[in-house]
Amino acid sequence: MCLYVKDLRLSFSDKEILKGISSKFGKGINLIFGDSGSGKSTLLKAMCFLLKFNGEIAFKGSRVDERWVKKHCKLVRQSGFYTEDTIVDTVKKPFEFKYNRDKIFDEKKLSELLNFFGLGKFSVNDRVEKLSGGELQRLALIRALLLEPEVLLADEPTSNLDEGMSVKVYEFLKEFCRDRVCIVVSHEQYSKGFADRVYYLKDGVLNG
Amino acid sequence: MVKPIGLGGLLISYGMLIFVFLISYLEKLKVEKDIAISYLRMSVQLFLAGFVLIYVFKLDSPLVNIVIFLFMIFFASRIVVERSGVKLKNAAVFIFISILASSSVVLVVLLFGIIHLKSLNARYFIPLAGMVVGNSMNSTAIGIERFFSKIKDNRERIEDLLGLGALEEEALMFVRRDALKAALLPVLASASGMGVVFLPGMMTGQILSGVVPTQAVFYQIVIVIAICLTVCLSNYLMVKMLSRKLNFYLTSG
Repeated sequence: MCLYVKDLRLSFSDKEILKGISSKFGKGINLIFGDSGSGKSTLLKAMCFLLKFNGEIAFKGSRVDERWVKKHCKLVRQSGFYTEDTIVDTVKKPFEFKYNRDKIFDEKKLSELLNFFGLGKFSVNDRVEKLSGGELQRLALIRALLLEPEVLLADEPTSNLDEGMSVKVYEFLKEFCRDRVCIVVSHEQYSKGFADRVYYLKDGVLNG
Repeated sequence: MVKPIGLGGLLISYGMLIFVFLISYLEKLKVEKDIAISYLRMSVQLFLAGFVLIYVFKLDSPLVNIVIFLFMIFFASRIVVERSGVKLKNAAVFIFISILASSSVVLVVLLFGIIHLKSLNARYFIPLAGMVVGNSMNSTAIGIERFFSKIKDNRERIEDLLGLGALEEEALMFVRRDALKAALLPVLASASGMGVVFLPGMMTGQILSGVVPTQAVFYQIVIVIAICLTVCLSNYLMVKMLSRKLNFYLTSG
């Protein structure tokens, strides 16, 4: 089970941000390291078809299109999350989408994940505005985990968390990603300890 | 009966605009030029319309009536694009289609189902079409402005939903909801105040021209509901069509 990216190129107003990235991402945590502005988030967005790019993405040897990505690939952003009024409505929202309708929302699992990620003090019917930035970031991660995607893309998933909680998140991801492809963007050194593969993105070129 | 307004009355009326200019000047609103152009344009358009209507009523040709109806919508679409500052290519086409489809459906019911006209009588069709299209124009201007500003302010939230597998239509649902509400609110507020806070224009016109107020009420209720439906339908169609152009909003500034 591998996700391939072939000669992925992306430009913004004549400036080439991603310069022909070709790489193979296998099962487990694929960690992408890079300075800010190196194009890490742009790469994840492109892989999710949120940005127009030239190149090819393939999974298990077959080229995939936007529809496949919508169904099997989920992106966790670093910030700017969509929320509904309550915690439960926020995590349930993606289950309403056409490409997620075959997935079953598991409220018991939600409670387990809330407890695991230190959000057990909240009831699922609590209003989202009660959550701090770090708590909201964990909720956004939980929301994607509940969808159990084949490919998980996470952009700095622990940027608002303290090191103790960040380690806990990576420990969970290590287990979660055992049978799926996870591509995680990070700049924190400790995250390397959990990675199955580490890549470096510099000046629009990915090495690893 | 009272005397017609005449040129003197018009001049007094234009004179009242001096206060608007004065406030604009004192408060540095810098809209003096806009006020002058808008009211000059309005006056010329209304005088022209008045003369044209005399011939149109005399001619009473369904084909000419339909051409005038399309002409109204064409201008309404252009005004909405100008007012909202939308940069999207073909925005005027989307607005044109939305207003045309919604007002056509409503006018057919209104003219043939409620007023029971035998043909597309100009004396009824043109003024009623004007009211429906005019209100639709005002509301789509509000709706489209809200649609774009909401997208601009919520780009990250929209991308968040897209990243979780949402279709463009699904990711923009909260934007559409807000734009539709914004477009409908003035119509609902206006309906709530009618008869208590103010008497609407058409009813006032009918009463001034001698129609029994209770009869004028029937017309007014029918028109207000027709306007509400047109506003709702035109905005719904417009935001649905605009939702399909999401890529444009996310990749442009």
